[in-house]
Amino acid sequence: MNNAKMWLVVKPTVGIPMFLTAVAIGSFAVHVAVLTNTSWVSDFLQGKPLGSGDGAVTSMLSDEVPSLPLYAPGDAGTA
Amino acid sequence: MSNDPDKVWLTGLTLKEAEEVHSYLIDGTRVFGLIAILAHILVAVSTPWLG
Repeated sequence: MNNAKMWLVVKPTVGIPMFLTAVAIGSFAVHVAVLTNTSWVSDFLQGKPLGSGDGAVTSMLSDEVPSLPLYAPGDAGTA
Repeated sequence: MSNDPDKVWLTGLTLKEAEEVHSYLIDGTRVFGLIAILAHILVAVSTPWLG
């Protein structure tokens, strides 16, 4: 109860809404950061099953990738 | 800062009243924190969050 003395100089009608607003803004910002820095939430909201992105990444990292052509030959010169 | 329990401060509160306000705030923070911990455990178990 050491910090209780703050209410002797800060009106609770001002300090408590400020505290709750700070908590709300802080937690909202963290959740927005998670949403914007990951893809699985938007994938899930698009109807893709959770974890399906793991398979896509694994297939990209598998041994089959080096066998793919490094470039797609165009049809320049044939026309 | 005076510790006179009957002194009325700028905010109109006495030390005892300030401690009562603070106790409710602490209780609310604890309940919020427990619910948040539970919610985060559920999300960590059921989604790819945290890998």
